[in-house]
Amino acid sequence: MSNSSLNIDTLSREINLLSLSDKMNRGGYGDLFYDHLTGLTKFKMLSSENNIDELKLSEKTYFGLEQYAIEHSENVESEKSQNEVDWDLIDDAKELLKIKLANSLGIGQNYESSELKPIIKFTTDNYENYLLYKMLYPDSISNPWLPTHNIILENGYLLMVSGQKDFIREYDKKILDKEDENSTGLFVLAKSNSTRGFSGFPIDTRSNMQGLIFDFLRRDASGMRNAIKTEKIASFLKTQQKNYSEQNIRVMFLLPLKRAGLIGSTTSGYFFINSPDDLIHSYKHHREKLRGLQRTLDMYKNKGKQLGIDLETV
Amino acid sequence: MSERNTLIDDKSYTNLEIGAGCGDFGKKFYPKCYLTDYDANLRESCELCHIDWFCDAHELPWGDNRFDTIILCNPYNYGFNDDDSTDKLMKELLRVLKVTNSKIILISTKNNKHCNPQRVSTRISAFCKKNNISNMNVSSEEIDCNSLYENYVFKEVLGDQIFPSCKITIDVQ
Repeated sequence: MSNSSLNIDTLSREINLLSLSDKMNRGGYGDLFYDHLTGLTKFKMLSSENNIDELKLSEKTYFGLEQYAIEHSENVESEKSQNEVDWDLIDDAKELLKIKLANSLGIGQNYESSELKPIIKFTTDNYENYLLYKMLYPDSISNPWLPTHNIILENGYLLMVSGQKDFIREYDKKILDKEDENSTGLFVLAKSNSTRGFSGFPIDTRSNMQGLIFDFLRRDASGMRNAIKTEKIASFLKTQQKNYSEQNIRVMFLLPLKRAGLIGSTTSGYFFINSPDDLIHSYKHHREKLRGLQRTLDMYKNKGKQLGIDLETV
Repeated sequence: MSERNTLIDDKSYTNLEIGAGCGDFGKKFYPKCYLTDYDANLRESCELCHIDWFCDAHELPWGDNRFDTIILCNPYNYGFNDDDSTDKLMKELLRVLKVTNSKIILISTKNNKHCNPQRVSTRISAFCKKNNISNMNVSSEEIDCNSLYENYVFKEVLGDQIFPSCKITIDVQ
């Protein structure tokens, strides 16, 4: 959606298509929420003073990261946006989403007194952030609210971040039982359609770990020639009294850092992108992997034809 | 979480800054100013904490009709984001502000959804209409914070420097 297509008609169409999910599993929002968190922390990681590994995640710091992404967008985008924000359009779209969610949850006229008001408000505020960033950088793929936009409008979940245990307990006390030593004290609460309850999870410290690893790579694996394997990263984490399996290090920390465009990788390992050559090297490596996948897909399509199945339509 | 402090309420202090964080903007540019913030952890996290009173902006520990000026520097996660937030904040600010000839000063960055000038103006109009208020006027100006507030470093919640570009004044006549 380019900026010129951000108008009330397109937004209204997008909102009208929203259908709350019938499922209540973490698959619809868990990984996307962490992508959102990595997207937010990326702005701070790329500042001259990256202290993400020390940042204690709380409601205040979560909203601080939100503010940081808007105020320091040039850390990630190539330049400060000169675009004007259409605040009236944002207000209109937020109102439409609020009505759509309230009606979908069957609380319509009772919105003001409903126990669901806080989660609807958080959801519409989150959508507002998506629109605000989109207006500033229409073509950006680094919009940190893109994953939560998908949670809400594509997957059909409301969501909320809260650090207030009493509040969480009122909705689903089981979420509190999931806390462990890697929890931050902050929780994600999600809701699908009106007949389902709530779901959620304690947010873990993976963004701190991502910050720690990012700094480690910047310091000890700067450039493709200094790429290091997961094993060495695991050893480094052990020196910091953090014990994670190599598989968890790859899935929870390295893959999100890579997806956020923060680090490069090749068969030699992971590295901090320090030069255009590093970037080109990593880009080519991933392009080759993609071509390999494409070849597999083409083979399947070919086999599909033999079996009378059009795999383009499945 | 309204923490009552032992500070004696000096009536000569006629200005109040809300959500001051680790800064001391109010004390520097509006002498005789009390500084408040919600977050009591600032005592430990600020290099030098200037807060006089830890309290919620929506539950101020002062009586009615008390201050000439209330200052907010780039509020985030409270303020003028929607009509509900505006209603809640303005009712409390108007309670402690003097009934006439008083004002609210907002120093803001233009993309802060909680205090963008156009937003503030829209919300205040709606607030006045809803509450039948006719003596309030909103004006805003673009500012160069480096020259207007020389040697003052504005910071956001995570502690990095920001450069506010707007000054909004809500006059209560």
